Amino acid sequence: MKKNNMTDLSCSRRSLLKTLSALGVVTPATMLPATSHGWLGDWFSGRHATAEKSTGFFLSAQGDSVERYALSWVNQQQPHSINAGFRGHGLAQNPTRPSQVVMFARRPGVQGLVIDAQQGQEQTRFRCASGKHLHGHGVFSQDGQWLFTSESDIASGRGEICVRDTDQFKVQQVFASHGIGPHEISLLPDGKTLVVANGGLRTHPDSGRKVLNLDTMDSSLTLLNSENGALIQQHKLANSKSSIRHLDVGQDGSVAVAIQVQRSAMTHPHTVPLAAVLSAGASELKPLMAPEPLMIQLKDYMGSVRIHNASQTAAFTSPKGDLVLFWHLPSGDFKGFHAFHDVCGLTLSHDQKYFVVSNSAGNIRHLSTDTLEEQKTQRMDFPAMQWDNHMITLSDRV
Amino acid sequence: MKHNSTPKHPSASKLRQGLTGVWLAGVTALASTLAGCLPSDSSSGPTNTELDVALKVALNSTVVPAYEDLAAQALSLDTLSEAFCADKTAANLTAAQTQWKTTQAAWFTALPFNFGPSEIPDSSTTPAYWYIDSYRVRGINELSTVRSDITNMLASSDAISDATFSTKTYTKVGLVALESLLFETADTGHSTVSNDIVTEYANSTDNRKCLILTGHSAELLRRANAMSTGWTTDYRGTGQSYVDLLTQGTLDTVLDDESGSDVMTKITVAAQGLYDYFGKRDVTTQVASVAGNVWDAVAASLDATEELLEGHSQDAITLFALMTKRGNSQDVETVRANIATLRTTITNQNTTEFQAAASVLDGNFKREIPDALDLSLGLNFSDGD
Repeated sequence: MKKNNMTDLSCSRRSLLKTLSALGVVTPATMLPATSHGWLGDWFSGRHATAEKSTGFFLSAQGDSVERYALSWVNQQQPHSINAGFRGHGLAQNPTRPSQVVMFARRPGVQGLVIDAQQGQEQTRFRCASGKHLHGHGVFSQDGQWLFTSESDIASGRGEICVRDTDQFKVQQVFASHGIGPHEISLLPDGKTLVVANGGLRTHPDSGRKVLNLDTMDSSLTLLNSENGALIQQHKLANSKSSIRHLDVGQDGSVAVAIQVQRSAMTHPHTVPLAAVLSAGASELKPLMAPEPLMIQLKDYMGSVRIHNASQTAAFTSPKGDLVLFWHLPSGDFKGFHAFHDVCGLTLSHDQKYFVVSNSAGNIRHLSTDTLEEQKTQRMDFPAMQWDNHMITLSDRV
Repeated sequence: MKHNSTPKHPSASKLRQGLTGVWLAGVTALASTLAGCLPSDSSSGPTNTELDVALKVALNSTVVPAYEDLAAQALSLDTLSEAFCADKTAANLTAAQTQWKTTQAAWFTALPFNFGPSEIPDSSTTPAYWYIDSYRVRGINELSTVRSDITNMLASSDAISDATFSTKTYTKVGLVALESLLFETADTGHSTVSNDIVTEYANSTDNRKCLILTGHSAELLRRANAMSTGWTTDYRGTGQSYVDLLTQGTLDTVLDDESGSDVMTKITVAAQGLYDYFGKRDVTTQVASVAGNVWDAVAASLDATEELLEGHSQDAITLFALMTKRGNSQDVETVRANIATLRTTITNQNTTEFQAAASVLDGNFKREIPDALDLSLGLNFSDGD
């Protein structure tokens, strides 16, 4: 089984690094050059203002045309970009090699762009195997050695999780996502369990993003053994036309999910939940509800979700509703909302004091995790930038 | 929960936005002066200034008058309802019924511009327009709800006051409530014969049915007035009109819960929303089913939409003219043809074709019009994952 190969490789790498370290040559933490390149380099080398470090660097796919598609980053200063040539979607940072950041092509793209964040340069790219495509998301293993990506086999429509090494980004293992259209994926705090948002929608590159299985769509949230792909749990929503697309995992193991509804396939006009939570140890997803007028304004679409652990509050964005909504996860209580045009990108500031949201007009806003109100003095506006659906905060922790 | 925010004064740190507003105002004034002198050079695209001018003209000459007229018609409806109650005759009932139809048409004239003051939420986050047009919300016909509520009120001995109507849920008020009160009897037969309606009012104990009628008409007037005031003089207690705040781009600076969308986005999204609604809901079979004037109502919406795009003969800059200037005259002709098609379906009162044509026009507001004006409605709004 492939896993043995991975173990062998790991031992080899670990042995090599140990030897080099003993010789005083390099360790993983210091493998990166000390020279800086742009603001990111300053970040890693600590040569930046404390205030900037506290809020952090925000990275996002960006651009509105092939010529402009990029992986871009910004803090309080001028934004920077690396041209991608494809429209990106989600991003992931290697937790043990924090300068390694990946941007995944938006469905049904096939590329991943790997950058060296400290250098601010492209490091490498990887492509899906022939006959497969990405769904825009991926996650690194906790030890940073593996990259899990959500993909689909085009011919069969089978959802898959592909496991790549984080040196060459070659696929080492593939297992089923136990659903169609796996989208965002993450790991539970145990570092071993993958949680997958299977959107349940089948598409084909030849017909673009047209949904081919509206009548039979079947979305689910699956928990998988990250070592062998075994299905641990599967959870579904009450409404069969609701698609679980995005998620975030809390430190307590709770999973918040953001949902999009295929309204054209529904037989009634009533609103249905667009957010839900699977609490640690719970047997089912619990819907999160808001006042009806707000639910209607969301237009059946939630984009990103992010959990603030200290307050156990999750924020959700709806670009079709121009709204950010907040819920307290343990109680399910609705806590409020913030209006922001075309809002979708959502992350937390480095110091956890703010939910940070972005839109394709180039605007970035900071919303206090304490009061849920905007800190207007922190507004950032970059009219030349079109921030795309998702955003992450760069961590300098090793 | 954040809503019904108190207005905030722009902080010093919003100098950029303040300057932008001053700049826009100054350029707008200058551009208006020079507008008649601009050459029609199709090789040069429209500038942001020209678009700003065109949009401000559209707001002031099409959108604001629509809401002002809504308020005026609601006032007439309230007046005629009072007049009927003062002298319960078939003629006075007919006058009130006619005025209801005119008010309905006025609402549909404003409906393509359903943003800003018509979306102000109350303490329950319910937007203002829900209380005027409950069907617009989710395509659910609340006629039976209204009928039940009227019946219950007639049977009750509870005192009736203004608060009786201002605290009702949106499903029990608005145009549909007034439609039921004016065009049919409240008894289970729901007769639409004029004399039956007049008789029921005349026989209503303690004139109770008239109290209900005039209570609803006063409530509709209150809400229409609030919308008109918001557009023209005072939006949500800011002391500034929505037009000014919107065109200056200061909405999300002055108010905490405004999204910050620009003018053209607001206009385009509202129009998309309307024609998507016309295309997907059973508007022509469910709305005004008792009064029977829905085709006139949807025609009013289309007229307003056409006016938005074509402008008036005296306007130097119109949205269609800007699209043409950018080399997109074909798109202009496409949209004109689609408007004409939709108008034909209205003339023919063909529901199926109406819905299809409305969907096509919805598509024009999603693609041809913003593309021809080189506008982005939002990458995430338009095209998520």
